[in-house]
Amino acid sequence: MGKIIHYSFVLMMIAVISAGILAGVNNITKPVIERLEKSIKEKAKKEVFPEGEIFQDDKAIKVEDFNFIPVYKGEEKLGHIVYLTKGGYAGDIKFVIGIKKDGKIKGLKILDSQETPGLGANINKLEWQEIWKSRDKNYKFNKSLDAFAGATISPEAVYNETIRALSAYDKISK
Amino acid sequence: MAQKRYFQEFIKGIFKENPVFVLLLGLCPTLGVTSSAINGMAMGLATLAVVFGSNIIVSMIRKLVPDKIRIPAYIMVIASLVTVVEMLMHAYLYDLYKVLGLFIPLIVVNCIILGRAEAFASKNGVIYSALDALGIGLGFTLSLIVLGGVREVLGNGSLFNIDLFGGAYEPAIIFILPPGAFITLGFLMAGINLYKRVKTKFGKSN
Repeated sequence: MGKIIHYSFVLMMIAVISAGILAGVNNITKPVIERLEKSIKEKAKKEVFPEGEIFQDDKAIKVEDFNFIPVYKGEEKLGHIVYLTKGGYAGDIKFVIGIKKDGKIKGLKILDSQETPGLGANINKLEWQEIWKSRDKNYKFNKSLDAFAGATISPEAVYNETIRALSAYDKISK
Repeated sequence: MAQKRYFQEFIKGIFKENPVFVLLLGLCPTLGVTSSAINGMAMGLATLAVVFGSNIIVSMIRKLVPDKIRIPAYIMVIASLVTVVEMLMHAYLYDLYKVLGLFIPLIVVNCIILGRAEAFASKNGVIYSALDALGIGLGFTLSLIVLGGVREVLGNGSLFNIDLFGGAYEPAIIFILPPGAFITLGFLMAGINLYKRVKTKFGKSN
């Protein structure tokens, strides 16, 4: 009986101390991570729409489940950006695209993904994100160009959600 | 004399008791992350940090933890340590964190860590445990860099993301895919075993 109490006590102490340390580290890192993700989101705006000066988050136009945020340079409206999320191979892929007034992609930036390193995770590479420029809603997915050997799910997820957004964008650019 | 023992405990993890090619531990992340040299190196260093911390902590509490509950106790320590490492990487080493992705939590089940805690840290002093961890962590990292390097050169024509052949070489994609991992590991191990056998043969005839 005494042994069981002793064992339980030791395990409890380890659990309590571990939990305490984890809570402590979490308190320190949580704000840092939040700030980091926010700054990445802000930076991404400029990366997908470099000429844009003002991004009117509060005047976003809602079409289906998309929020198209207008992009202005001075008085001139250049287009919109929209944040997208789509389930990939392992978890959600979060990305943002810039759309010109003519419905063509100005830029694409992957913000967050948990795809397989070396395979699906290649969507994080800048060279891959670049190929989407100037494509529009009529673009058909090309396996040899857009996917990687052994990994089609990740690029396809990005493609499908992008096309869906571009098609919805049609409704407001008229 | 103690100097020699310090060095022995450290160096054994690199060659004689190399975790990947000799002990055959931690093969899951080894095969999964080595599609490139730099991924292998990043994973190796993260694992090194964890096994270093875990060996030290386990060694410090070894006299307090009853034998019968040592496994759950050590696992709690290791899991907490990996979570701390993951949180710190997410906050301060973001690019590396993105590269390793879902393999960071998998460090918990890397047999090397529990293996060293069980086999060494629970029975030895803190300094020796720390050296043991450094040695085996370094051995692991070097092995991953070699494995990742071979796979990257053959499967992607690059090393550490530097293009080597400039298009002259058509890479054999299989090497950066799972079958290539097994094939490469198998051949490297065969090579090392062959080397060891030749060495003892020559040693005997001398």
